[in-house]
Amino acid sequence: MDRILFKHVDVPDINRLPVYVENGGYSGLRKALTEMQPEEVTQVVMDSGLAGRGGAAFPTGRKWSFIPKGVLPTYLAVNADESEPGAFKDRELMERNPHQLLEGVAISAYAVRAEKAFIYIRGEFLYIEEILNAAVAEAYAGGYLGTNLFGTATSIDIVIHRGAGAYICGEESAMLDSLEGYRGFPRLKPPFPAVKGAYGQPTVINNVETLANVSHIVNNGAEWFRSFGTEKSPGTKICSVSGPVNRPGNYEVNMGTPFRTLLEDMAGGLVEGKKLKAYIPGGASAPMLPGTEANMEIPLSYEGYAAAGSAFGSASFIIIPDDACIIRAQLRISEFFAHESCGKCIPCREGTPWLAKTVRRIENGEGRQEDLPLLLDICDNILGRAFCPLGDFATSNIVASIKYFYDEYEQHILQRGCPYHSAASAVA
Amino acid sequence: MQDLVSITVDGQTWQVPKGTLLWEACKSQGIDIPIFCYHTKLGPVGACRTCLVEIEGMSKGPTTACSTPVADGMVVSTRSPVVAKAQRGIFDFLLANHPLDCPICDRGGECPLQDQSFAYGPGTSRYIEPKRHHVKPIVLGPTIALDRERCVLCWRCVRFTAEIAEDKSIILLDRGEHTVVGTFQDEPYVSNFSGNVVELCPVGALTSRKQRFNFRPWELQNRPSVCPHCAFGCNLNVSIRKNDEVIRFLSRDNPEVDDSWLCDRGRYDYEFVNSPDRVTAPMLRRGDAFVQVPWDEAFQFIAGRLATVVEESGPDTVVGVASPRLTNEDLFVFKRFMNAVVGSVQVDHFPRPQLELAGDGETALETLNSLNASISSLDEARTIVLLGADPSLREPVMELRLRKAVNKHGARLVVINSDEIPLTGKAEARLTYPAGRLADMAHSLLSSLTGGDAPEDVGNVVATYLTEGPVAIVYDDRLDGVTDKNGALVAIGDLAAALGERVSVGVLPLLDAANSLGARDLGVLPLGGWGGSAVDRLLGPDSQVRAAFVLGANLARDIPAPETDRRLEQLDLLVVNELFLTETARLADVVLPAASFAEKLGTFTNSERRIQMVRNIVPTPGVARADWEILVDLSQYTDRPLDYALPQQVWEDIRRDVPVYSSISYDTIPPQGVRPASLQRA
Repeated sequence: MDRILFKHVDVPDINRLPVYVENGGYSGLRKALTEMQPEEVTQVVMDSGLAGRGGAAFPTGRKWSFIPKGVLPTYLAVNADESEPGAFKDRELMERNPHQLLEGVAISAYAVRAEKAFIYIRGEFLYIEEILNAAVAEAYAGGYLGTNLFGTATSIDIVIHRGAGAYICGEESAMLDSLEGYRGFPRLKPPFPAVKGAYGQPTVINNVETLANVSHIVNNGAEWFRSFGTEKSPGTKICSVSGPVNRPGNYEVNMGTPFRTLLEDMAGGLVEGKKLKAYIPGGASAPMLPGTEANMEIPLSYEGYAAAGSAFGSASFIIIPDDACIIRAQLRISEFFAHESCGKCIPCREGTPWLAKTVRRIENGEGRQEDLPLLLDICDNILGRAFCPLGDFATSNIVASIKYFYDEYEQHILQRGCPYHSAASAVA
Repeated sequence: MQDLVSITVDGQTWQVPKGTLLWEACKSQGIDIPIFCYHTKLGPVGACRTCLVEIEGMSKGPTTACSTPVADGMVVSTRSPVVAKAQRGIFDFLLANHPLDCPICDRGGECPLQDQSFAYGPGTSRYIEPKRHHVKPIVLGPTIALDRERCVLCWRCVRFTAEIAEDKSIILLDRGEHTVVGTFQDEPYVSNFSGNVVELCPVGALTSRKQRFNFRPWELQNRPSVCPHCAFGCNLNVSIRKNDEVIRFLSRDNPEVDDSWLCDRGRYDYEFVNSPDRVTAPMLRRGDAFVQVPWDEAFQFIAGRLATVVEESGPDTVVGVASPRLTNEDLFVFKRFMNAVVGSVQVDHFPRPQLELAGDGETALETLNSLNASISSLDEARTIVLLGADPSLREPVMELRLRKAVNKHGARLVVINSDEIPLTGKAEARLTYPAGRLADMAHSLLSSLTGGDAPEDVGNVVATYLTEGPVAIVYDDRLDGVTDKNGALVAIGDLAAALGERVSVGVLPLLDAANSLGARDLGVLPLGGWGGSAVDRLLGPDSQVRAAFVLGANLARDIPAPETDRRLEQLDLLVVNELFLTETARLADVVLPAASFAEKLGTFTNSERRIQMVRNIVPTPGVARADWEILVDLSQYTDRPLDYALPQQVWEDIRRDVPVYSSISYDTIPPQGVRPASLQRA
């Protein structure tokens, strides 16, 4: 399998600077700073077709090009608030090869003329903060961060900031609020962060995995990068696979690889005795798909899952086996979103707990026939009405689970309980 | 000329200034869009989502009118089926956990949630889960109670404390459906401006601890008036019940003055109007006690004693002291009564700065007077200098105006004070001086400005901030604690004059009372002008004064000394017009019941010389009358009766007598008051 991001992941001590440099590390940064203008870096990233790996898949080079010229300082903010249920790719990238991220961050900062980059880490990632801090200290000592890098006029500082643990802080503008020391609430747009972001200055916000690609693109060129993946989704993607499979974990795939390869060859298929009932391809916010043969063949790409009526998102695959109750799975998802709603806007604040309470009632055997149209109508009243995408995310699996597993909902309602957990349907 | 763009909403096409928020544009055209979080005086937040509208060409579906600026050619629907469905959905959410305790809620009857749910919401709720409950009410601070169940989390109170008062006291706590309004670590919400959050609250979540459960909104009628408590002149709506009871004060937006805010002193100090302790009838002293008498008996008594005193000792042994809280009409008739009826020139107002001005002092006052700036000119000032002035203490709402000038209009605030004041933290530069030494500081500033010697920090401030206009200077006319009051005033006047030769300068004084400037304009000053003092003449050790008319001034309280009481007691005639039996009234021979600001028609002149009307809103208690009416009636018992029946007759004489007011007639005073034409800028 072709690997870019995980190429060196098994090299012992790759997290240490000398080992990273021995394996070609920081050559991309040297090349960018000593041989390229910032615009050239942006251009090669634009040409490579690299798209945001946080889930939205916005073209990275284009995002950088929105930074207005001459408004200084500009900032680069790295979204390492990996909180999507099912996602654990950024964690491994930072844990195992922190310098690959730092190098990407430094090159990207140079491209947007930022002298300061912030890495905003999820609150729970205390141990990763320690890994990154150690790597940053090594990079400063090695002359890869700080002032006048490689004898040029370029200076780049990286600040590691750990949040307090909130899903909403993965929304980029809420992340900036949190970074600035405020409570994380999504901000009104416009102005967009590219114009007025961190501390009121133009700011680019990129995901960890996105930036980890940058040194490789600078080193090897756009054409090389486009040799991976599909035309519309160049490159590789790290897919997190969780659930009752034989080898859960992160797998770097060439985009376009069928899901079947990921599930059966890489993750080793479902554990013995279980069959695939459904799976969620892009984390809890992406609609689930039933485990049909057709859905096994979907190419792992943004366009592949969009065509199937779902979303590739952060490529966080949650495997739901045949002996799992869909309503119970949905309840976990709905309670997650209700718990993580920031409370800023009415549809999400009031709608997400209403969804969760209604699903809980159905799971507990107190569902009513009218609850299904009610659930769909609540979703309709949240979708596109909420302040930020979190509200929309909370609706996608309700709609999908009712669409694909209507019978299972109806069964719960008619039998006044959960057929999978007959012991009182007592959902703890 | 602003750029105009053309927009079409619900089939109507019209032009609005570019950049206007769509919600404001629709409102100005009479198109109603429901709203909770948006408020004209606060920035958009986009939290409530009730103002969703459909804009043609926007693929993402309905968008919030409160946060979308208009664009040329925009085609909008506020009534489409998609919008109607979205609105119903939002109101369904809003009411899901709302307690619906409207029958006992203070807001019920004037509640935007009631009104807008009725207009845009579903008729019934589909929510069958148990509603959220909170401990209630929560005492948020000395003035405010909070009901978290009713709260719709519109952020208005949060934004008021963050953007307007800038104390950031009220915050949101916890997350998601558990989000509540509160304060950091439950510290009490203490602010000079707390009442504004009650008025901003679009539901009954924030209520006044003083007023909650006291009334139902439909019992009330709102009548326009002006706050009587300081010279800033904030506009009020006075809510009354059954035509005779003052229930509360609400703000009445005057963008030129208060910008819709009130301070707590202004908002909550109204109970005096309906107090059972009001003086309701004329009272004559009989030994140690007062007895109520008819007006006729009181007037006969006064006229008799007055005639005796004037005959025996001459009219100048009679002095008159009036409070600058009285209306221009009261003060004018008072002065005329003293001059023409009694024949005395010994009139004065109290409290006022006690100055012994030489010629240059009068000039300084005239200079400062001539540079009198409008309050709204603060919005255009490049630099605002607070020179020995603390607006937060004297005219609190000015503090909010200054914060706005800095935040919204980029004014640079310079605080020059011997002490820390609430606005110190907002200052871009500050200078301090030893307590009382304002005159020295003003001299240093003047010296530096005119190329003379000055300490380095003073020189830096002058060079950085006073070389580019417009400059607005706010000074404290009372000069409390200043050791050389005359010197300070002269220096401030000279400084303003010298600045005025270089840059555009405006001056705003902080004054003693609601109508201090009116008292000055009307010349309610004794022989000798500012240098004289009828109060000194009355209370001085060698006083020859035998009779005094005191209108609303509480000398015995404000000049506390055994000598004060003794002098007042010794008078052959002390007539006191009052609302209450004050310390001074207790020493009187006759106490006459006066009308409060809410019981008479008249005008106040605020510190920017804006003439504003107070009105007859409730009847006076008992037989109380306006001060000017009392004096007109009393004059009928002398051989020189005054001839005024209506306040506008008094005003017409004021116009003839006071040139600066000549352009203003009662008919032309708009609801927001008016500054004399000669002061209005082009």
